Amino acid sequence: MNFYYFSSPSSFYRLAGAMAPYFFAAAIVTGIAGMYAGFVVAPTDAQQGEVYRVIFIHVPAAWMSMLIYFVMACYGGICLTFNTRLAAMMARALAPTGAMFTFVALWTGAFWGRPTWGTYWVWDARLTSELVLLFLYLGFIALANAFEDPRRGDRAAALLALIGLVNLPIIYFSVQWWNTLHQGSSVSFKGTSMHVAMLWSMLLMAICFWMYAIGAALVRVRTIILERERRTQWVRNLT
Amino acid sequence: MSVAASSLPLARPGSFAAGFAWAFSRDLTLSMRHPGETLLVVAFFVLVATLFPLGVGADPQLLARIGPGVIWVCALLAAFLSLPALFAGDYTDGCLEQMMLSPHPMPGWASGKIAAHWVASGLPLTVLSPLLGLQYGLDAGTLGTLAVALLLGTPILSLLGAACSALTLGARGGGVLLALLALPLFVPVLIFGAGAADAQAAGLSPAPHLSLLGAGLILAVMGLPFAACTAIRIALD
Amino acid sequence: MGAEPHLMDHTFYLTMSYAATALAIMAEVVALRIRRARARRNIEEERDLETQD
Repeated sequence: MNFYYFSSPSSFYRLAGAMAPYFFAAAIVTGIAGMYAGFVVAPTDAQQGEVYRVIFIHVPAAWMSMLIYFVMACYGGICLTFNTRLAAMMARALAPTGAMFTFVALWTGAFWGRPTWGTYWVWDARLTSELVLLFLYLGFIALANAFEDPRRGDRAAALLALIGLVNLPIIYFSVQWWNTLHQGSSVSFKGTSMHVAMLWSMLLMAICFWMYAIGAALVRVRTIILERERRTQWVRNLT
Repeated sequence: MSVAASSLPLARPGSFAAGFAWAFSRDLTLSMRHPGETLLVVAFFVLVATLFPLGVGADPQLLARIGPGVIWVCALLAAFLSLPALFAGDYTDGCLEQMMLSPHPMPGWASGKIAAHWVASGLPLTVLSPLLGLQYGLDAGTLGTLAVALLLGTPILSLLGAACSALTLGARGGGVLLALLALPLFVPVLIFGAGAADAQAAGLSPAPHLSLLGAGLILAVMGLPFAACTAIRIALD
Repeated sequence: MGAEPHLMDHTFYLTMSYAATALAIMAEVVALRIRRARARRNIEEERDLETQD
C-alpha cells in the first residue's frame, strides 16, 4: 500500500472514523482503572491529606497540554514544508483539545494551590508560562480563522505554532531553573519518590487523557474535512 | 540613498547587507518625515510612565518597587503600538511585493525594516529610561541595569512583534488579534527584563537575567527574520 | 473537631477540580457533535441548492 494513501482527506476520513472509537474505549478503560487506583488503592498523603488527589488530573492534563502543542507544531511544520492540507487540518483539530487541557491544568492547579500554598494563583515561572501556553493555543485558533482563505489561515497558524514552540522548554525546565513556589518534578525516567499506587494512577490517567485527546482530534478532523471538502463529490455522496 | 548604500564594499547589490542598508535607511527616512507618528508613540509612553507616580502616590518604596515593571510595560506597549505600521503600509500599496521581487535576499530588507522599527521605538525608550527611572527614585545601579536590560530586550520585542505583524497582514480582527499573538510572546522578555532591574535593586546580581536576555536576543536575531519572511510569503501568496 | 472541617474543605477543592474537568470534557464532546451536525446540514443545504437548478 502506498505510504501516502492516508494523506488524502477522503481516505483519512474513513480511517479516522474507524480508529476513533477504539481510542475512546481505551480512554474509558484507563480512566476507570486510574480513578480506582487513585481513590481506592492510593493512601492518604501524610502532609496534604486527601486534596493531593487532584494530582491525578492536574499532572496528566499539564503533560497533555504540552504534548498536544508539540504535536500540533509538528503538524504545522509538515504543513509548511510539504504544503499538504491534511496536516493543517490535524493541527486545527488538536488546538481546542490542547487548550482545554491547558485550562484544566491551570484550574486544577489553582484549586490545589489554595489549600496547600494558601493562594489560587502566583506569578511563578511555571504557572506564568502555562498561562502563556493557553494564550498561544487561543492565538493559534484565532489566527487560523482570521482569513477568508483557509489555506492562508492554515499556514499562518502553523508558523505561529512553530514560533511559540520555544515556550515548551521554558515550562518544562522552569521548576529546575527557578526556585519558586511550584514544586520540582517528582517523576523522571530514572525513578520517582512517589508512592507506587499514586504513580500508577497518575500514569493511567495520563494515558487516559492521551487516548481521549487522540480520539477527540480524530473526530474533530473528520468534521473539519467535511467543512473544507464540502464541494467535492465524495462528501456529497456521504449524506 | 540607495546609491550610497551600494557603493559600500560590503553592500553589493543583491546582498543581505545592501538590502538591510536600503530598507533601514528608507524606513528611518520615512519615520523622520512623519515625526508626529513616531514621536507620538514614544511621547505617549513617557507620559504614561510619568503618570504612574502621580496616580499611585508618592510612597518612595512603592514607586521604587514598581518602577522597573512600569517602565518595561511602557516599552512593551511602545513596541506593540507601532507594530501594525511595520508591514501594513507597504502591504497595502504593493511595495512589499516589489521588495520581495528585488534581488536582495528577503531576510536582508526585512531585518532592515525591523531595525528601523527598533530605532524608532525601543532605542528612544532605552535612552530615556534613566530619566523615567529617576521619577521612581531608582538608584544608579538599578537605572544602569534597567537600561542594559532594555537595550537587550527591546530588539527582541521588535523582532517578535515583526513576525506577529507579518502573520496578521490583512487579517480580520486587526489590532486585537495582533495583541493576542504578540503579548504572550513578549511575556518572557518582560519577566527577565524587569527581573534584572529588580534583582539589582534587591542587591542580587542581575547577571542571570541579562544573560538570558542576551541569549534570547541572539536566538531572536538568528531565527525571527526568517520567520517574518516566511510569514510575508504566506501573506503574499 | 479540627480534623473534620479540614477534610470538608478539601472535599470542596477536590470536587471543584474533578467537576470542572468533567464539565470541560463534556463541553468538548457536545461542541464536537454540534459542529459535526452543522457541517452535515451545510453540506445537505448546498447540495439541495445545487440540485434545484
